[in-house]
Amino acid sequence: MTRKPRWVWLLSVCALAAGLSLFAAGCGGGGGSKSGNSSSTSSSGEGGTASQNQGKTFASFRVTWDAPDYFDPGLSYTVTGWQIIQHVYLGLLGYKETAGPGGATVIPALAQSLPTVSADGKDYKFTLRPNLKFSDGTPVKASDFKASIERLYKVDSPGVGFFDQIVGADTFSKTKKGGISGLVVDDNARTVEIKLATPRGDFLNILGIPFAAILPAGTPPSDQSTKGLPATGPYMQQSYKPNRSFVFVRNPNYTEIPGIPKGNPDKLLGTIVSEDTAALQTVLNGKSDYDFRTIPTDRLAEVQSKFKDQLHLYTPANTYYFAMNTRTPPFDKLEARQAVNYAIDRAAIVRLFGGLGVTTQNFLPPTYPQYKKIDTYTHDLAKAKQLVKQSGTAGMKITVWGLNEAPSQPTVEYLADVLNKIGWKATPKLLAHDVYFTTIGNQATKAQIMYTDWYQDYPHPLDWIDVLLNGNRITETHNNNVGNAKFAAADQLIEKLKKEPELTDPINNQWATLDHDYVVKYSAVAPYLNIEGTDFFSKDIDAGCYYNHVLFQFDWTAICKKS
Amino acid sequence: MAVFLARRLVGAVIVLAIVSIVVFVIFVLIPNGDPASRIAGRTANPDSVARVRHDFGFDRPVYVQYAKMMKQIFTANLISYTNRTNVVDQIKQGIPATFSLVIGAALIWLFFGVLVGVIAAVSAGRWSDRAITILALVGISLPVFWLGLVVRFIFAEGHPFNWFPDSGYVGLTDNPLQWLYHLLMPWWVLAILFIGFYGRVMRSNILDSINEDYVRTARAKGLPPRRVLVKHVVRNSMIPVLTLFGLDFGATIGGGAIITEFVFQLNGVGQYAADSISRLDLPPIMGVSLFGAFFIVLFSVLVDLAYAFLDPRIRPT
Amino acid sequence: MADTQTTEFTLDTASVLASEEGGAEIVGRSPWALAWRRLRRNYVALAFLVLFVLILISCALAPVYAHHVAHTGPNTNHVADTFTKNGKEIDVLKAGGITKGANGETILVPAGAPVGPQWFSAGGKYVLGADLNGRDVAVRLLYGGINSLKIGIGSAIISIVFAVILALLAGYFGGWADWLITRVFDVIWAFPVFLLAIALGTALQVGGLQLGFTTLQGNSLWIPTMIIGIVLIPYVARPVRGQILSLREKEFIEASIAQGASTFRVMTSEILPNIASTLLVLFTLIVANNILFETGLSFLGAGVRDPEPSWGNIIQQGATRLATAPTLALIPGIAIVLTVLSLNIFGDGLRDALDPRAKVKI
Repeated sequence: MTRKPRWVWLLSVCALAAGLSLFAAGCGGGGGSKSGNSSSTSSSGEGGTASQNQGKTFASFRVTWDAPDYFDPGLSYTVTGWQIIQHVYLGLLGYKETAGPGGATVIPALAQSLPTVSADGKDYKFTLRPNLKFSDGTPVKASDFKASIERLYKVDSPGVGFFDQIVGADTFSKTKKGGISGLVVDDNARTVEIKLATPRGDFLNILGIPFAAILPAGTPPSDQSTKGLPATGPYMQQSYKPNRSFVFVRNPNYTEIPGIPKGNPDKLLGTIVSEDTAALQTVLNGKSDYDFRTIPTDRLAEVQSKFKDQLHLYTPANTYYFAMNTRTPPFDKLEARQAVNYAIDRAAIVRLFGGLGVTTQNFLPPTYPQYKKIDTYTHDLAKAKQLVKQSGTAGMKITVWGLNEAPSQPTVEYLADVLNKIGWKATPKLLAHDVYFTTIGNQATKAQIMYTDWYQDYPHPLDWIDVLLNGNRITETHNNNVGNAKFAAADQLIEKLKKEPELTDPINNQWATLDHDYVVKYSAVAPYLNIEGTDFFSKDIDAGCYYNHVLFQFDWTAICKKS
Repeated sequence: MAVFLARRLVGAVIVLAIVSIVVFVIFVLIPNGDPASRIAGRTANPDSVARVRHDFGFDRPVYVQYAKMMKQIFTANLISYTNRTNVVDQIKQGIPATFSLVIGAALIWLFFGVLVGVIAAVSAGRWSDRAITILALVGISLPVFWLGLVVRFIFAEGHPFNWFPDSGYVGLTDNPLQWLYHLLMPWWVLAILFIGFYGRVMRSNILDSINEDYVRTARAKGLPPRRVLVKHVVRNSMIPVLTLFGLDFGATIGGGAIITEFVFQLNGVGQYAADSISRLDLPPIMGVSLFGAFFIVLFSVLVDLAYAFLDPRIRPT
Repeated sequence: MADTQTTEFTLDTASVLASEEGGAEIVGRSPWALAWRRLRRNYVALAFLVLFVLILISCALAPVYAHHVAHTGPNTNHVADTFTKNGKEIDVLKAGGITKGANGETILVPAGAPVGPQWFSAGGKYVLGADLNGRDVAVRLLYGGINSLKIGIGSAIISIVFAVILALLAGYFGGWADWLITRVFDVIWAFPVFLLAIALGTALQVGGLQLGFTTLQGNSLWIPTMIIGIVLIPYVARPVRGQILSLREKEFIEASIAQGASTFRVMTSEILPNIASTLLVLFTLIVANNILFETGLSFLGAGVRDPEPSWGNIIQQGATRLATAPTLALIPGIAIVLTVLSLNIFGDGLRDALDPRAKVKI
């Protein structure tokens, strides 16, 4: 299939375990990243904010989009959906609409201010802004919040894991009756009180994502993507035909909330195109103003030479890596894992990604302050071969797991060929996206080595090392630590760093050590590339208004047309 | 006649039921990923997977699940496992594109297939006949997906000739001109194979019927050859071609256009089928299989009926 | 056959040829010898037979010679390698990537475009260019040909063998056997075949197939072979059954039965030889058809799985590089067309030669 879904999974903000109350609001700001998050081949368009571009309204912004999973905020779990609905369905909190690491700052949205949090970090008190209305004119009540969270459980939302720490959520998830006792709301006083069973440092971040959006209490407990729901944000859904089109228009009942501008386009007209080449063509022939999909590598050179000013590159924090299963031979042997790290030619893999990437040996992405460049593994087949020999596993059969779509497919085939060259007998096994991660995340599969990647939820090393490499978090199914990395010393350090409220320089150094240990000392993973994204606009669009948000990527509400 | 019809209809229902059972069995028996964990998402914990399994009834006996799925199809409540979109709605929305593609292509292949066949038969044995025969065989030998890619690469916008839109579908009611413009390439790509095939069938039918008694009689009556050809030979040779046409038309709507739709991104039922299969998403696969089987069966019944009317020698009982 | 009246509609070429032979000569010759006589004069069919045999041989012998010419195997990646042409080093895949400029701006050099056909200017390397992994397309084309032909021929054998058995049972016994078998065919017939095949192909790739005695891996060539073979059985069985039905009415069969020949004997020594020529023609045409079917499946990712090459999956890869490396998709397509066309033209000629009056259609 030439279809190449851009499912950028925003995962596991829930990753953070208990005991981090002070970290909460700071996890975004704590990033303090050295370089900007958005870069571009054109000179302009960096570091804009939504508020700077306000008031440049225009009639309609025509976009070519990938098929979203859902537009229902209770179900959507991809950037494809979130990038749009974060401007439609607001929660108590939101994220600052700005470029760079500042975008990870949590701001009050429908809540009047950031909450008061009890000393033990288990009790959050919010007050709603006065006179809030849904787009259909009904008032927003505190009880709507409670109903919205309860609805997540009723619709079997993939986001329920974010709210499991709320008192009574566990019982409610089983019975679906009687309400969640840890959510206390008062419609008259407009107050919401959330009681957590165990403190959860990232809870404010969670309240800022679309899963926590406030919907009317009576919203049916089933997917409402096609119907659209009463909105609280600057835009509302007018129509959505799955796999075809969608229209979002201004919400007439939206009164501006500080930090959440009204937005420039009066209308967002979306066409859903499931092929990169066709999507690009819609912009080139003037039928669309923006191509959400990645420019196909086949056309990249042409687009870059002819339409340089319309092309923007951005760096979502991500790492592409091969995970090696430390529980199954041959990768239970350190030498075998090191062999892989030496054997892969990272610069070669960049070619398989069409050039849209930068080589890396670090597990953490380069925009992080914890990032200290690792430069241990120079491509050396002879050395790799010798390590395989040393490990005593030469000649062993290996299945290399991957996705059956680009860029995974050529990368996995390349890896299999490399493993064959250094003394193993490798065959690739390529699966469809929808079954891949649950297959490799299942211990019964006993996957030996696999293709995987990670995109940040917010800039914090815990979101990477704790979620993906902590040996205490290995599970039987839905395992995110797909390589079953379990190294006592490292696990201890993770648990210790988890409790650290602030990312000071010494703490960051310890994170950097962990990053180094996992890649060099344990060689548990073989990171090879940080991918680069593309945003492509028609020539009518003013690049000066472009900015790319750390979480929600390109902010279409801030875009403006050339005058 | 009524008995015949009733029998065919009962048969059709049974066939559709078996088709649905076979599709269901394929996807239940062959290990291809647990739908519950797929719905629960990549980061789900065992609890939430168990919850989904219960809520969606994956923990019920297989026959109960099957019955539930059938009920959902007929009440238009069947939803996809990957994005919970309504399968029946999605198929309905794909119908205009699929029908536009197939009907247009069918008219092209019928007209040109017959034309080519007549020309070849009239000039049988001459070089033009040989050329046509070879060309028809070339048409039959072209892989549709490749032809589609090549045609797109040569004639679509952004490519050497820049004549047609690259892909996509525009509704007939939205903009008739754009509809035509978007479909010209897919029509021909889909029709080419059938033109070659129909041309050959038509040619051999004509050559066969030339020796039939009624043609000799007509000729003996002194009718001008052209008239004999058109009135007797071609007309009678058309009957088997029309039969074939009915069956092919049903089969093409019922899944034969998957590749064409896929290559040209027409977003019809066929592309929905291809996308769903690549996701191993059972509910839409069930939906499109039944949709396809329905049209195949429908047209085979229609063809039988038409045959009964056209050819009184065949009296179905 | 003697009816050679000349009208403005001449008869079928083959029957004209047949009649030219004259009645006297036909006497005393076996039908096969007669067919060969007719086929020998059909130069076009013979030429395409030769073409097919050439394709078959060059693919089948690829393991013997390809490595000596191209100096690489079908699955060997050359992602970052170079080769020498006229003393110049050339990247197999275009190099590039992202770097930071002096002012911190991002500089992108698009990469990965595979090198095009070198013909024989690079010492036998990359005669037809490279694919996305830097593999030699010419070598993959030959090995892919082996796979495509294996599946095409293998599935045709499956279809024919099962179809003949079922058609013999149905056509000869009639009654309930016929009823049951034709009903089963009706069901398969009602299936959208291509849809069924890609659904089966995709599903089986995930978990493989557990048969009682063996397990087929998801990437086994047997999976597409069996899928194609089985879904096409009714398409073969229907014409064969028709022929058996008409044969049953013939005097020589009745005579044979009257002489007390067993059913099995009647089937094997009377009926089978009489449908052999039909089967031979069907076989050629079905192989052609199944190669198209297989490449279509592989194109959609439901047939032969990378890194095993097939003409279909090479085109699938090429489709993503049409603008920068058009030959990657074009060349395997031409291979398919030539192979399928040669089989179709030969099959056509064979049909005319074996039985100028037959109306075998698939």
